[in-house]
Amino acid sequence: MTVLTTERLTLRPPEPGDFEPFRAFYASDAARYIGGRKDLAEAWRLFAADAGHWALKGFGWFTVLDAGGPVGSTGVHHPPHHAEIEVGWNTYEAGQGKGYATEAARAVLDWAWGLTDAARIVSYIDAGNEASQAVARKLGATDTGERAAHDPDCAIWAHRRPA
Amino acid sequence: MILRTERLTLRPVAMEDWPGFAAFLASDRSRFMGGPGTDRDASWRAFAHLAGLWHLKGYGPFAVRLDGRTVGLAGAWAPMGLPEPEMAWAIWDAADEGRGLMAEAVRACLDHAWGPLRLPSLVSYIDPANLRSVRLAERLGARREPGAPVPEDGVMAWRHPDPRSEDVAA
Repeated sequence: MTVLTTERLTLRPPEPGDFEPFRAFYASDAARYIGGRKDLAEAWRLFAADAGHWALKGFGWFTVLDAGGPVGSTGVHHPPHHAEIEVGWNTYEAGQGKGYATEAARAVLDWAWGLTDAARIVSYIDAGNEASQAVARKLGATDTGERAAHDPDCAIWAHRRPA
Repeated sequence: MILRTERLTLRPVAMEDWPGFAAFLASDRSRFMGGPGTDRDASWRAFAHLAGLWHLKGYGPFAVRLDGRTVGLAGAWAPMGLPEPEMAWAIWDAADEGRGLMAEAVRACLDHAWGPLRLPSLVSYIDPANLRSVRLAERLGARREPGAPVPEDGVMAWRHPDPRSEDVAA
């Protein structure tokens, strides 16, 4: 099992006990830029799909925990209908305003370059999602001006492989 | 986790099963399972969710392999929303029907579910209009249980007899 640690955070693949905060996040307005609110059954399916991505592809989404428990989810995924490998991040209410998304996503990116030969890892970010755009900028990503083929509401932000 | 039968190998779902699964979901053959659907996001989520069940629950559906290709899925699963663990199956292509492949696969899955997995009960939720599945359930010894809770309108529960509690002398 892949576990990443940062100064304040632990990242590990999803476990059953992580579902409740995941469900609460996807039931909230915070989900508006990532496919919309999800009911219990839809949230479960997405949660289990995130867990399944690890088995299918060898990498996936982590639950992000601070000393108090889950504060978000961050990871890399590459569903077959997406053009490129993507790094994504979500921060639950308990983790807001602390720079957790940037800290977690930086650790994920450092790890993820070893998974792919690609020159870039992308983040598909809704054009209205300013909080996520700010995280992308802090990570050094740039808005390519392109739109995602699988979701034209999303701009393609590019993280360049470090030299 | 691998199960073997006379003709088949059963293993957890893997990436190479994706094209066949997506084609099945997009076809009319998935009409008894909420299909057909061609939304790639939803199809991928449904597929990856099957793999995730193995991690989250410790068991899940097997890909049923015949001569190096996947012909469908079979096995016990318990996604959120099911009243009880279900013994589920689907054969993806009509060309693979009629040879008893699913009966052979599901028998192995039943042995595994009652034995190593020690599941407390097993039902199959079937649309009564899905005659092939009803026949298979009954061939495997399951019986319709009108009072059993069901996860959605339009399906009924067929209960599989628990070999651990059967009165073998009867």
